[in-house]
Amino acid sequence: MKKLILPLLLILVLPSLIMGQNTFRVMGKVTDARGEQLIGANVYIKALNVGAATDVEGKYSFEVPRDMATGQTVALTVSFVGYKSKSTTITLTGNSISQDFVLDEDIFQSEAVVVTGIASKTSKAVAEVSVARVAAADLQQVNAYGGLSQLIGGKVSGVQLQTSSGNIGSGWRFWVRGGGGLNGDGQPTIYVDGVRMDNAEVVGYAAGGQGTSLLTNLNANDIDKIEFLKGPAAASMYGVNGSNGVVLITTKAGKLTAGLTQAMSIDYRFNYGYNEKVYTYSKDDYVSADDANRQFRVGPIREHFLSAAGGSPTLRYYTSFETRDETGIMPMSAQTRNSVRLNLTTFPTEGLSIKVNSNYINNKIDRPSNDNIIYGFLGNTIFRAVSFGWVKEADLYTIEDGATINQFIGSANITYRPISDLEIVAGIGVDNSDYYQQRYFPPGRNFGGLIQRGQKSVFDRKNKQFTYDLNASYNFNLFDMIDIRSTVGSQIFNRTWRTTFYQGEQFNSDLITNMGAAGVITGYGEGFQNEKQAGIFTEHSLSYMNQYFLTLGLRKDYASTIGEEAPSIIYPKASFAIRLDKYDFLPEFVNLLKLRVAYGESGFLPGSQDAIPLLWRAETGGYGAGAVLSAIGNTAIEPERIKELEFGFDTELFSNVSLEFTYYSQNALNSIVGLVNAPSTGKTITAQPYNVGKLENSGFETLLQYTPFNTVDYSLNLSLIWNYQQNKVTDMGIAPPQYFGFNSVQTIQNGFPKAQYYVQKVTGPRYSANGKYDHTNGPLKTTERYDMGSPVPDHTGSFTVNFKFLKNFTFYGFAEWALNYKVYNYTQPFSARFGNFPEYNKYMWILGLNELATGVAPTSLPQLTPGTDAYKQAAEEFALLDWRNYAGWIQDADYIIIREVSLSYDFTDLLREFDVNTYLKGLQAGISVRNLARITQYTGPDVEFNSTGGRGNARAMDFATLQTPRTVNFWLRIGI
Amino acid sequence: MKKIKYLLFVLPLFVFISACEDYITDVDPLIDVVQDNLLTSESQTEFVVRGVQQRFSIVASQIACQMDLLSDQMHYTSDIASASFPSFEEIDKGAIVINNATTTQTYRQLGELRFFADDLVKRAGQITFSNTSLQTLALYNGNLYGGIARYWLATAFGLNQNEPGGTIDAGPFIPAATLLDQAVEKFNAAANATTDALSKRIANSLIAKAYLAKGAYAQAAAAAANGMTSGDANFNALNSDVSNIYYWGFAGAGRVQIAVANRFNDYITADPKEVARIKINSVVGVSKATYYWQLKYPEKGSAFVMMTWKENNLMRAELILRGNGTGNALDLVNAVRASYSLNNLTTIDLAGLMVERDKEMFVQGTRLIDQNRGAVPWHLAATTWRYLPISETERLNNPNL
Repeated sequence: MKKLILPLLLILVLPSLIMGQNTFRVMGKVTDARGEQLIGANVYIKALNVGAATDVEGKYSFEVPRDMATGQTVALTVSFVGYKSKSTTITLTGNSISQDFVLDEDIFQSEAVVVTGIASKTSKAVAEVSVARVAAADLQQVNAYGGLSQLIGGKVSGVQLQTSSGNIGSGWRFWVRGGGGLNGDGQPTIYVDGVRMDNAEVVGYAAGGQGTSLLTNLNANDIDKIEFLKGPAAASMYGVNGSNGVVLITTKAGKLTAGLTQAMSIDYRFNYGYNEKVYTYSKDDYVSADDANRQFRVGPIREHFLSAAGGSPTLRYYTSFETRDETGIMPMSAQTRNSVRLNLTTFPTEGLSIKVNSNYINNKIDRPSNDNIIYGFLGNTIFRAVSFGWVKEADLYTIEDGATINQFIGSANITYRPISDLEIVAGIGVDNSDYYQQRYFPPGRNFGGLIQRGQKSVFDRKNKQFTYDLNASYNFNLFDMIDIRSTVGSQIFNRTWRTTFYQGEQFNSDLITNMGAAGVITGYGEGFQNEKQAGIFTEHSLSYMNQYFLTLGLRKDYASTIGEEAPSIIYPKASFAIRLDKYDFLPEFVNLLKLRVAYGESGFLPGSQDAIPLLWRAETGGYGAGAVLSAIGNTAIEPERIKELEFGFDTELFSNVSLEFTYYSQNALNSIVGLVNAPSTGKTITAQPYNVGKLENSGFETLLQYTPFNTVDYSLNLSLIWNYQQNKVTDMGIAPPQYFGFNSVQTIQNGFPKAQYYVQKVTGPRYSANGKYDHTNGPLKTTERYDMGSPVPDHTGSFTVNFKFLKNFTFYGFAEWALNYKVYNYTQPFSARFGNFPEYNKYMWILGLNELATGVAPTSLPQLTPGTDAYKQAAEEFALLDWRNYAGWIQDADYIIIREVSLSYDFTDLLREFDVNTYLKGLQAGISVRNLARITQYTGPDVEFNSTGGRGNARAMDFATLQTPRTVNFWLRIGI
Repeated sequence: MKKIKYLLFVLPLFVFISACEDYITDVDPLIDVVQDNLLTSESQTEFVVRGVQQRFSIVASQIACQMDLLSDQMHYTSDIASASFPSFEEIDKGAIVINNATTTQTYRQLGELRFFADDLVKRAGQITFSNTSLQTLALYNGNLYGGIARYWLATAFGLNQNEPGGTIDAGPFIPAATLLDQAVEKFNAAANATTDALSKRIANSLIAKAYLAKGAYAQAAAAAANGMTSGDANFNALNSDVSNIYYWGFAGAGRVQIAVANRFNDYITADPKEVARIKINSVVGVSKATYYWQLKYPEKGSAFVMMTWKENNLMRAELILRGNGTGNALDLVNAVRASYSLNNLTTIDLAGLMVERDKEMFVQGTRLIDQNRGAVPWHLAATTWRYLPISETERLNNPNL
């Protein structure tokens, strides 16, 4: 054994000895203008691909191999998020050099590199389009985030994001700018490290219409930054995938250290918290409020996250592991997510880099039956005056609905510069997921009769999608004045999707639950689809004197179709920016003033089966399998086109104020609208696609940031987002008005915003011959419909406070607001029909309607005499409460939500004081609260949910939907 | 050198452009759907026929149950713990909003049945059959179910409370009388398409049923005379564990939301032998009241009874009592009763016959028609819906309505 020790020691020590003798050391310190050391700043010599990050004292040190340090002069650069980069030249002579830096704050983030196209990046200071950027890694310093949606919602100007329910893993919905065109689900395309993600809301065997978003699998701790290209003007080079914007998520990467001999950066985060309900049902609204409230619980959260990152001149790495257990506020609601990630970047030779990112997730989500079905906790309590009339409480607790999701997300990108001016980038990405759901009703329980002797349902969805990118960019100079970057490229998307489902019943034993124990198979099926998209593009960016910037581009897209010629369409773009601050006429306090204007087109291609007149599928029954309709198509269908013009300005004043303003105007032409055929045609299984729609939308978005003071011990950062959007359908061609949502209260038709509430109003009570209120036929209504407002707010925004005090304390607060917003409360009038609305019951009694629901006791109030003024007055009031008064239940839902509040303390100074920072580089702890309070006039439990899920036209429908919870987290972060 | 660089730069682009279209159209074939034109083939005929029958089975018990609910034969009460559909309550009370979710769904599926059936006949006309039995199968079923769809449009639905009829292929409103004539025409075409005796008798019974609904007693009697006879198997809508009968899921063993009128229990109390044909069970409501529900269709896969020789007998008996047709009404009624070992009646009149029809065609969707043709009194206020309303979706999307 002893014989081995010496060689081992030699192996360990020798490299450092050799390196010590054969290296040139670069070292120094990085501080801000206040003298505060900056931890984690990157200091590097780009030409030699070496560098390091600063430590807890703001110091950096790295070595340059002696054969690379030949006495030449090189640029030493330091960059740090939130600060303006600096470079200085150093000469690599002797054994070492010390170079300190003082960085200035960059409130506008002008140095931040943002993606402005599919193959283009630039600094925010010269970007010709509005690009929103969420510094996710920075947000995680002061808060705890459970998922991607929490990192985006309210933090991106011009973008609204709402979750469909309080279920863990619930789907969510974007509303980008004016909501895009008429076609599609209005959702942006989402890329993670270049991989186009599956953004489906998977429902499977339904839990009241509420699905699960596959994006819930993403571990928020891994995300470094999120960029949002919000419309065709910015995203046209993404082609048909860009009409509702593009979300580009970049995960964390390794950072340069001086070499592998230097310690890696290890980050451990522990998070303990809980979910609880925000809204408590009132007995004034529901007879059975106590029963409903009793179903809620406090759900614990426990999360461990460990990451390691580092790098050398030839290899950078980032790896992480997360395990998260979360319990929801309803029974049978939980998640256990495990995620492991490895990101590698190598530089094998000069001019060549290879980046490989991989992420595997195993996520188990339990979903409660919480919606408008007789198996739901809410359905059984808030719909009826006598709770659990449909299914007994004890039986409800035996229903299991769990999904296991396995997902692999991987990408490989090669960047090659064969010559200095030519860059070739090739990439491949895969998102491969398996969503396997099992729902089980055990035998021996009573589930309202339909399910007898147990039922098991299995739904399996396998989705595999590949993204291929290839582009080449060539930089050259024209007349020694104009820098030009020309890019050509292509993008291919190939998706294969398969579902299988089956259902069995009559389990004679609850001890064996596999499908083989089912006495009878009561449902089965299989679906499969393969679709491809391909696009080619060319883009040319011109920069004159680093003051004028112009980009021109074209993209042509193709999509797969079945049985028809492949549709294709060309989308152009053009953008221009000018830096006015480069002129002398502006005062000195204007650090930056950039005007920009951009125009771009995008749209949707028809679906792969849209051009087939009729598709038939097999349906089984008592006659065996027979052909029934599956889809209605249109042979004349063409791609749609959305045109967008945006212009605005970005400015930074006094080094502590920044303002970004963008106005946009979109025009959707040839929109593919799914027309509902008259049922008498028999062709109603799906809507039939037509190119008939025209829609206009416009609005503005602003981001104002202000830092009133900034000292070592105290600093305050404020930011305000204010968005306004409006949209109007301007032409529906041959299409009649479309109505949808519960009781068809929403519409798409000429002259109205998309999904506007448009219903008949109640004019007064209807009386029977005996003078009584005619409750059978309901109140009198107008024949015409009226505009009752929008399920999409027109003014939205957020306000953020980031207050650092006593040097190491940080208070962070974030609130969202919305104006001119309506929600259709269908829960309360529905429950009134089952006697669960006390006010309704009171009128039923005093009006002598004698139709009190079972279990509802008459009030002590005297019954009124029909025909009297008092009776008529009460009837007038009751007509407005009547469940058939749809207009009356469309309620104001403007809101302010105190979305995030946190208080944290950074112990790093203490670590330094006790001289333990050699072992422990950082220590922070904090408490965060999400959804602290909702301030709204709306009478229901939530304002953001939607009982029909996160897709489809119907929005803001409240029908026994689970409220989103308040989440409290206590977290601890240790850096080693 | 610069030119070579540009060439390297641009060449792949042109290669890619030319390859794009080929690449994206080369997708894996669909496995769960088929294009319409591929079904116009002799080899696919049976598959298409089964589809028509499958839609018939979905619609038949659904439409019949809702007709029974609107009639005095069934009723809805939220006092039954498992009742949760307010849309059923509207139907029961005849106060139906035109966007009633239940009736909207039924009108949509009835439209599909009509289209599937007519499409089958059209498709059969485009195929050159080598196997004539397949041609017969297509023409008989296409016409028969096309006729049934029109019969239901005429008898189940209405434009207004008292205006029966429906729409076809987004056309103008067709009054019930016209639709019944069209149904008869279809049934005749079905009868003419087949040489099978039972199939012909079924078609004739359906013709009689249509004429009876129209009040054309002479034509009804003539058709009923050639209709189903004692011993003929029922003409049913077949269901399965996968495709369930509507009564089971909403008005039966699966889940009771719709109860039958108490008089069916009274029938049994008055003559216990009636349990042989009136199959009911009871449930206690939240208020402790007792309700009865049908057990005629006890299983998910129970077949719905569309037409029987017994109904044909009762039609003939009624028509004889109304002075049409030949034979002895009492004998025809007693033949039906005898099949359940019930005692013979000694006399029969129209009122008595309606009671026999009530018992015999219990939960078969015929009671509403009897009420609407005036053979049985209407049980709700005069202003109520006597038909299921043509859906709002039809009204909004049919430019001719």
